[in-house]
Amino acid sequence: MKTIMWVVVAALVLSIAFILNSTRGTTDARRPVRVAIASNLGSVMEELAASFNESYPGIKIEFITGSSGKLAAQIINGAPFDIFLSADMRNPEILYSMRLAGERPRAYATGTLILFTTGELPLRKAMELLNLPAIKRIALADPVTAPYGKAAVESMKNAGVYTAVYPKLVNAPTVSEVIAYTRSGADIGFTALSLLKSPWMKKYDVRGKYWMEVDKNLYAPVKQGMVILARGRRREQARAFYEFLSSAGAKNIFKKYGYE
Amino acid sequence: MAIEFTPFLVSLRLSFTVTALVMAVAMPVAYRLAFSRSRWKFIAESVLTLPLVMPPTVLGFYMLLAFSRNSPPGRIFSDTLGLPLVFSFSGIVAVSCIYSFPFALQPLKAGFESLDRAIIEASYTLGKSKLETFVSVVLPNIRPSLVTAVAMCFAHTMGEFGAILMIGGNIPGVTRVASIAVYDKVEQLDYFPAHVYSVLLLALGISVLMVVHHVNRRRGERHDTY
Repeated sequence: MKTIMWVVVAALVLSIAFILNSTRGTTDARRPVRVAIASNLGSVMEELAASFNESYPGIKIEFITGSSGKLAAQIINGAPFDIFLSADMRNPEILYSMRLAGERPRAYATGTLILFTTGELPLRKAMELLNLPAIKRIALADPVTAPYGKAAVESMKNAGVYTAVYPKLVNAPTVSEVIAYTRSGADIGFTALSLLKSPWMKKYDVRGKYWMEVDKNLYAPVKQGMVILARGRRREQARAFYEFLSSAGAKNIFKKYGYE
Repeated sequence: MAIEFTPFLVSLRLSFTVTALVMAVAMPVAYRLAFSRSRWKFIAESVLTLPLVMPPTVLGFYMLLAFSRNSPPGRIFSDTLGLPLVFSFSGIVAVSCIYSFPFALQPLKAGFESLDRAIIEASYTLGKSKLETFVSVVLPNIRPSLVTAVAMCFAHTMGEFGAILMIGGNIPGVTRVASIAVYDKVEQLDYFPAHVYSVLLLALGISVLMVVHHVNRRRGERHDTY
């Protein structure tokens, strides 16, 4: 009697595992286009995909967010992505030179670096602001893997405040985590303007109160490039979305989110 | 705002698969260890419980190196066997099996060790085979340990994060399990779905523990009044 009970239990567990696994086969046939995106694109992407689906309702677009450097490293190690939207030109260039992309990267947008705060700070004064004693922690994305972090370091260096504020710097893994850091512990942070344009961040999109643009003369433009990946499976569908991202319609959406 | 529940399906699929695989291996291993008098037993025990104290990133890192498409063993798995271990479901099953193994092994081993050897001998004397004895004498007698092992293995796999993120890489519908979906939504500053996922994971965790403690408490009482 007991034996039968145990056999039944074991059979049940195995069959549940089998049923859950068997759903994989069906999803592969209508696998969505997987787009690896730099974190600054988290907010604009949903609108871009929605707009794309108006003309191509059958193609599902899925996103994987991360810092550009980390995503590029994952692609080099075999991550199954179809398109890569980086926050710089360098990472897509590297993939192209490794023949992981069939054609040269294409620039799709130029980002805007901002200083973001949730406290009461006089945001009119340029970069000298960072020297204020009230500012104890400055968040920025890791300059090694995140292009916006690199731009932040560059702007501080060019403004001549880098060495003085260096002890205050806190590295976040991505630009979107800079916002999380700034809302919890840091007094101010370098991030991408696009992130404040998402529906759930709108309350912070008040220029002069919560954010100010970093002087564009202080850093090289954050030119963002994308590539179609050679190992991608959904070639045609990926191509359609890739071309859409360079269209006038997409340009307008990028503009709405603070890109140039 | 629509909330995707696919990450939970992926988590459940992972946990069921891992629990089935781990239990199948852990039961004989724990049985062997519990009754072994070998001088070298401590080495096997240390290696098998290593995941309890090792940072998940260490295992994730080495598996990533070993199974990447750019390494010889990785090429064997992905090109020859057609079973890529990096950024795939089979990969996170492999890494979770290693990680959840001690969570099943420890309670099972404790259960076997507390077992009265006399009843096993009695079963043999009455002409039962080793397998029959194991299934109808040993297992029913360590039921609380079995429940604990299954529940801990299952719950731990549901909550596993670091190694899965390194090996699986957050692919929607494939390796984006519930715990990674929380991280992903927090990363996108989209806190509402992160709350929903977290509350569900909390509820699941506490229910599993409640089942374990409830089952074990009932057993305990019965033993007391026996």
